Amino acid sequence: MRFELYKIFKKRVVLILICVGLVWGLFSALQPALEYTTYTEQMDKLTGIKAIRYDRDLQNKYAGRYSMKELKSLYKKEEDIYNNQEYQRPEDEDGGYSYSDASGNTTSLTDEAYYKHLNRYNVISLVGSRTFYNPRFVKDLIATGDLTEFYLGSIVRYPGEEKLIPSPDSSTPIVKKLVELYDDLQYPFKGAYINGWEDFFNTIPVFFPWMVGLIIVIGIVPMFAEETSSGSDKVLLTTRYGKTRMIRDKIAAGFLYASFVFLLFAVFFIALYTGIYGASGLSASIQLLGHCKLSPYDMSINQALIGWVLWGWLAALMISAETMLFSSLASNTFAALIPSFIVYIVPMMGFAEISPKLHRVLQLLPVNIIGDVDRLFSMPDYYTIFGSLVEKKILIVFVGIAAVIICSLLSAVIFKKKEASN
Amino acid sequence: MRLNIKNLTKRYKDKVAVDDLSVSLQSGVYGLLGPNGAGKTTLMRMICDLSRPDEGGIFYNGQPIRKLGEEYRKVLGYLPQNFGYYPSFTVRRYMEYLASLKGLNPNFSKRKIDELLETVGLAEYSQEKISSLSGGMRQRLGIAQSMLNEPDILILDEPTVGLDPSERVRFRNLISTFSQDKITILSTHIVSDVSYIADEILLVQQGKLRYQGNVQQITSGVRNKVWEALVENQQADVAKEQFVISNIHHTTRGTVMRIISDSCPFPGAKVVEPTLEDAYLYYTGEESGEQL
Repeated sequence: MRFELYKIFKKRVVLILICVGLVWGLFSALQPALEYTTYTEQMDKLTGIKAIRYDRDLQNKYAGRYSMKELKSLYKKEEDIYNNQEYQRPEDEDGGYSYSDASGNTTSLTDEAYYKHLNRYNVISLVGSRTFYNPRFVKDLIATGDLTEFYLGSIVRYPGEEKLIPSPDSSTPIVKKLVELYDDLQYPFKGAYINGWEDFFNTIPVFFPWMVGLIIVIGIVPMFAEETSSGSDKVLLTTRYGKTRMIRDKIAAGFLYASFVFLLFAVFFIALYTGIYGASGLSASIQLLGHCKLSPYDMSINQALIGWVLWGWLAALMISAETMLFSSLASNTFAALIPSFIVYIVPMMGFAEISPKLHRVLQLLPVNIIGDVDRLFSMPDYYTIFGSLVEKKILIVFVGIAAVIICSLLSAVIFKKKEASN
Repeated sequence: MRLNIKNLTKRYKDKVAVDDLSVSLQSGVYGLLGPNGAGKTTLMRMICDLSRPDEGGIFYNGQPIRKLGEEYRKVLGYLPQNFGYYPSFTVRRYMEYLASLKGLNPNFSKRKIDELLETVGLAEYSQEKISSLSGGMRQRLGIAQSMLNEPDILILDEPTVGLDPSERVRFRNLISTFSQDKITILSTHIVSDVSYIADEILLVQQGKLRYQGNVQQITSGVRNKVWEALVENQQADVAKEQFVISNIHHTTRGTVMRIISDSCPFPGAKVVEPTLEDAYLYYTGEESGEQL
């Protein structure tokens, strides 16, 4: 197998793309971090990593899981500061507030009031609002069966996807299942400084489908097709193991390469964000993240990341398998690249308005999973399969494993049976 | 050791590339001759199980090669006409790769690679990338890889393309030494290569086996049909239209022509001893009217 891996990694384009990806990743994480600005409680201006470290250490003074009583008391303090009329900015001509140039203050408070009194309560503010307001949404859900609030921003993101929201009906199995999940949710949520992870959850859904997925496609697409176009197949297929072990090695190398690329970037990003923002936020409840504020899952950001790595890895293997299939069918790399790209990228487009069913099916394909860190645990997404509700994450596992096995077997058979090139 | 080819037919759309061809091969060197498009490469690809025949079959020691699969490929060595290589691989890495695919023991393969690279004159280039080698050197690498597993059946399609005269001599000696107790099928346009080393000639034309025999047998078939004549230049032009010409040599006295013809082409033409090239032209050019 080492020879097959060597062939993949010796391709200059693969090495260049990996380097470009790492530089892009580094830039996308570092740039906002370096531009970050805050003020100390003594109103000294801080920027960059120093500012992040200061905010993190300050806000983490209130990190952890509080009892409801403790949280109520702390949240009251935070609200008192927030609502203190003396701390408010004067309204501008349009009746709005002029906001601070410092990154953290998005409130109506003056910078001085915010950084002197409120900044340290950021964690409490997040934990309190989620802990006290989420149950109200659940109460409404039980009463009305309306899933709109729960689906918007989680399952429903793009135009046309509103059609995916079921009609309000509190007796539907989806509502019942959701309510059961909320019953098991542990309040209050666990808090910690999560600023960097919020950014992580915004970056990954763009970076992974566009960069990591395409690096996998480009690395694997020549696997069989190039042997055919170069004429190497004529020598390889006449060797003792040319129609057996070699094909197995190629497929294994394809999966190993896809795994390497996915895990390299996943570990790189997690390490990068941990390096910049620290690991303390990883233990916080996922409900603190904007995308997951109404999530019914009792899990930490840490656990969500592990889950994403596992599902994303499966998606990487799916990309590898479908690309190998096109490579085995094609007579040259370019002929394999075009359908591989199309099949990979097209499901990213929204088809909800044309056909919600088709859109739902396409959501199970790898381009919609590989960077889906923000959606996987924001809300359970149920599919009706033969009358039963199956959660998307479970369905992805079945679809993924089936796709990997079927595409691998087909690739092997097609390359083996294909008449050698002229 | 016996390789039986029975009623082999292969069609590409309307064209019949190999047409009901049958031949039985035992150890020895077989020179496969025929004009372009005669079906030589298609035949070799079917022998290598790279292409499926539409009809007929190929049997190694009585067993269909398709059924033998790995066991057959274990004893097979193949050098295709245009074999692909990996530009980023070094010579040694390429040989190691193929040794692993041929299932060779690492110790044996290391020794064999050294030996073959030495034999084909690539030992000093073993760490060079294949992309930096000349066409002739790549061809020698191709020859070396085909012999890695010491195959019982060695199929070489145009092995001397790109080789200079001394390399061709070296190649012929290599094949002669190698092919004892083995079946070697050698396809080439260079008739002289075959005439030196082939035990038997297989002459293929339009997908059919036109002639099978050793060099003496095939040349004796054209005895008294090869003529040499000194003619005037104008006569030479006319003769080119009328006869199969195997050689033309211009001199101050006129044009010396080597003509293949059943009867005396010119008064004064002398019968000369035929060569394999003459025989090849007689059997292929005569029927098609080609002037080779």
